[in-house]
Parts: sequence; C-alpha cells; structure tokens
Amino acid sequence: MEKQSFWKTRAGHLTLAFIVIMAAFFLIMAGLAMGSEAVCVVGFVLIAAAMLYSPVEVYLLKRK
Amino acid sequence: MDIPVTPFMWVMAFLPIIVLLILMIKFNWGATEAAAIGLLITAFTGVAFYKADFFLLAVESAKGIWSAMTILLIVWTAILMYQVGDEARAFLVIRNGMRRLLPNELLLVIAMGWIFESFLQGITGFGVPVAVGAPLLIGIGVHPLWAVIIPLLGQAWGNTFGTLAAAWDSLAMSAGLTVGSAAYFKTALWTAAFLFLWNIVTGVAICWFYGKGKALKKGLPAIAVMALIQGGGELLLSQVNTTLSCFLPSCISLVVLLVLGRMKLYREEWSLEDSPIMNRESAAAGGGEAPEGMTLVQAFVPYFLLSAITLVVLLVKPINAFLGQFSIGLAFPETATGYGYVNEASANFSPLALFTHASMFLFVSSIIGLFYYKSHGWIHGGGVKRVFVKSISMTMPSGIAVIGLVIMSRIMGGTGQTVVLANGIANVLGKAYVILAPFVGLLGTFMTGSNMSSNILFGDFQMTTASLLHVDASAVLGAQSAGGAIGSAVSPSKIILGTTTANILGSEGQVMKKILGITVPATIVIGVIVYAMVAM
Repeated sequence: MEKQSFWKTRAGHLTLAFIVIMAAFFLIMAGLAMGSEAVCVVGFVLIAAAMLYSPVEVYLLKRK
Repeated sequence: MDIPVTPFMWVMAFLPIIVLLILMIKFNWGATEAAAIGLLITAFTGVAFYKADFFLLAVESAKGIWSAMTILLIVWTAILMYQVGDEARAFLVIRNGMRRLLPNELLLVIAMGWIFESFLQGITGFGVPVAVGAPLLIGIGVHPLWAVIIPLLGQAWGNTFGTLAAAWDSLAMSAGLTVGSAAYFKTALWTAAFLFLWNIVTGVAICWFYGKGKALKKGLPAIAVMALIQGGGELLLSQVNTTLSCFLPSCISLVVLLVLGRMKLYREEWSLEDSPIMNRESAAAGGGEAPEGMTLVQAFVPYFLLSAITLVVLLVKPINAFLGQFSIGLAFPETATGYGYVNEASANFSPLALFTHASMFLFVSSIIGLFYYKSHGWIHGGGVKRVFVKSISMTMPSGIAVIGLVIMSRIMGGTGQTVVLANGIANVLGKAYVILAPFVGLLGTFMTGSNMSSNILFGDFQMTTASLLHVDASAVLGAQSAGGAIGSAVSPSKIILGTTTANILGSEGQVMKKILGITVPATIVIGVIVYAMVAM
C-alpha cells in the first residue's frame, strides 16, 4: 500500500496552519518594529484564517 | 475606563465562552475547532461592541501566541518524554512492575493518577502532570478517556500552592497582601481549607469512577490517609511556609502510598473486573513484549531525572539565580479601546526563563533518558529519529487549539470584556456574589489555562469587590484561588495536553462533560460556605 505523505494528512494540514500562525506572529512583530499598523493587521487576518482552517475542513468541506 | 456594564455588554462578553462550552459539550467539537469559533466571536464582539480596533486585536494576538509558546514547549517536551518511554517500551515494564508493587488495582490507579500527579504538580505544574500522567495510566490498562480525566482531577488541588506556590504568590501580589501579614496567612488558611475539601472530593471521585460503592469502600482508608497528608498537610504548612506547602505533603503522600501498598488491607491482588474505567482488552493483549532486562527503576529513569533536575534547579538558590538570568521577553506598545480601556505598554512582556522553565527539565530528562535506553540496547536503529518525528507531529495539532484559546483570553482581557464579566456579576448580585466568587476564579483558569493567570486577572477585582460589599476578603480570595485550582481540571488548554499524549485528540468535550459534573458542585459548595460565613 502506498504510504500517504504527511502533508496530505490532517496532522500535516494542521502543521501547515501552525506554520502560518507562526509566520503571522513574526509579521506582527515586524509590523510593530516598523511602526506599521497595516502589517500588524495583515498578521491578525492570517492568524484568524489559519485558525479557521480546522473547523472549515471538519464541518464544512468533509461534510459535503 | 468608560465601558458601560449593561446586561447587553455582559452577554456579549460571555458569548464566546458559552459558545465554546456548547460546541465542546453539546456538539462534541474538539478544542481545535471550537477555539477558532470562540476566537472569531471574541474578536467580533471586541470590535463591534467594545470599540477595539484591529491593531489592538493584532497586538493581543501576538501576546497570546508568545504566551502559548510557553505552554507548547511543555506539550512538546512532555510528548517527547512519552515517546522516549514508548519507543523503549518502558511503559510495559512500568505497568508490570507497578502491578507487582501495588497488587491492588484501585491503589495502583490512585498512585498513577492522583499521587504521582500531585508530586509533579508540586514541582513543575503547567500541565505537565496531565501530559505525563495520561500515557502512564494507559500503560496500566486505564481507558484513554479516563486516563485523561483522572490526572486532570488529581493535579487540580496542587494548582495554587504547587509549582512552589507560583499561583499563590500571584494572588498575594495581585490582591496587595503583604507577605507574612495576618491577612496573608488568613487568606492562605481559607485557600488551603477549600483545597482540602477538593482533595477529598478528588479521592472519592477516582474511587467512584473505578467501581462505585465497592471501590469507595475499599479505597476509603487510602483516601482518608492521602487527603489528610495532602490537604491537611497543606493546611498546616500554609501557616508556616507557603512555598513548600504543596510540595512537601505531595512527596510524603507518594512514600506513604507505597507503604500502604504493603499493608494488610492493600497487599493482596484486588480488582473489579467490570470497572468501567479499565480497558481489559488492551490490558489482556499485553501491548507486546517488555524489553529484555529492563527493571522498574530503569523504566522510570526519565521521571526520576525529571524530579531530580526540577528539585535542584528550583530549590538550590544559586543555581536557580544563575539559570534564571537568561530570559527572553518581547516589547509591546500601549493599546486602548474607544472606551478608554488601556493595555499598558510592556518593554519585557511575559519573559521566558528558558533554563528554569518546566519544558527544559522535561527536555533534558527526555534526552538523557533516550541515550540511557539506547546505551542499553532498548532503542533500536531509527528509534531516535522516530521519537522526534512522532513528538513533533503529535504536538502541532494541539498547538492550534492552545494558541486559539490563549489569544481568545488575551483579546477578552485586552478589550475589557473580562472586567465587564466580573463587574456585572458583582453589581447584580450584591452580597450573594460571594457564592459566585469561586466561579470567577474557575472562569479565569478556564479561559487562561492557569490558576496563576486567573489570580493575576481577578485577584484585585475580588479584593475590591469584597471591600465594596463589606465582606471578609480572606474568604473571598481563598474562594477565588480554590476555584481557580478546580478550574484547572476543566480548562480546555489543560485537557488538550492529556488528549494529545493519550492520542485521543478531539475528545476534549467528552472529557469536559465528565469533569464538570464534579467541579461545578464542588465550586458551589465552596461558594455556599463563603456565603454562610459572610451571612453569620
């Protein structure tokens, strides 16, 4: 049986979401250092999007 | 602060919490999914009703991620320690060895689910007892769901005075109690008295879960001795040395339990075949062959190391001072809502002292344990890589939930929703508020995952409210911290530590449902006691 790639599993998807959240964290910190509120807000939007991945996958995409 | 404390604003502040609870308990959503929805609602209410801007949300989110990192480091290293033991098949040795040492299965469950967790809570805390305890209980044949529930209950009593009284110190600091003053010791006495009560409830609950009346009858002498040592010992020591008032009784109870296991009442083999918490099929399957030549002491090597390293680093002051000087903190600017609710700027927010952090003790113990097992040939080719890969892939999913929950609590705090929640309750209820005082503590820990954070968040509020209502502040503060300690058993951030290491991620709602049945009545009892004291 062919072994499924980690990045195609649920744990892999959540790991990607985690990486996006961490990237967003650094983006906010960079925004604070640069004094750019817009960059910080982009970071927050990225966090919200990555957080929403799991409920969207479990309760919307997989139910269809 | 000009936030109107109206029923509407109160309901809006409470909405994220109630949605989180409903999704997890009623609809059995996992914390990873429910936290995202809770966070979204918090952010919406923050902007729409509490006049926060998106910059404030971004700053609070970054603070939340940074705070969550300290929890995630513990999750990863606790899982690493579990994977080391699993790869070496040490849990088989622990299961077989502990069964021989404690032939009474009920006593074995008490030892591995309550007494050992108390010991870990006494020194490390931060969810380590739950993360470490769950796989140990599974190893002795406990059903994974119960292997999460029991350590959550077992560690809760030690949350205020455990971790060398970190949460207690926070309460004293937040409420402005002078160390050594009469009010300080009176508050410590009330807190310890309430925790003594909870400690008894813990023992009774574990026996009840194991086998209802039959188990309770068998376990009652052990519960009485353990509760007397832990709860009674903490009560006495709270009047002498608050720092050691959980740790010392926890150590003594661990030794006394092993002695109890050699006494007539418990030295014979005893178990209830139909115990609902035991997974007889997996126990009968045996889980494979135990590693050749590994003794019980050797199987426990990482845990002995964990205890020894933690004790040395935390209790030997020169070492602690030297290692504690290396810390990392982040700078954040001041933010404010349209209502003038200000979050002060911080040059060094939540500094992480990496070398005195519980995760470092877990990491070092795991690595030494890994090489110890490998040197004895109990970890084979590719084992080291497997341990690291598995530990990381197990940590990542729970990381999302922990981050979501911590950000949610930061945004609630940063937009003033938390203050409105607490003020609203006090304004409406008057003196009857004291019944809910422990619930405020519980709420704080539920949201933040930490008794210490709950005390920081609400210590001053409880003190102020007690003064306004002209009631005994010591009892109210005791109820706050005891409620906070009890709340650690139902906090999603703590639950997820257990479901992750027990490999039942997504079952957080089921765990919470079972535990709420005990924590809510116990918290009501504490509230009623405080009310009776006030009314007298």
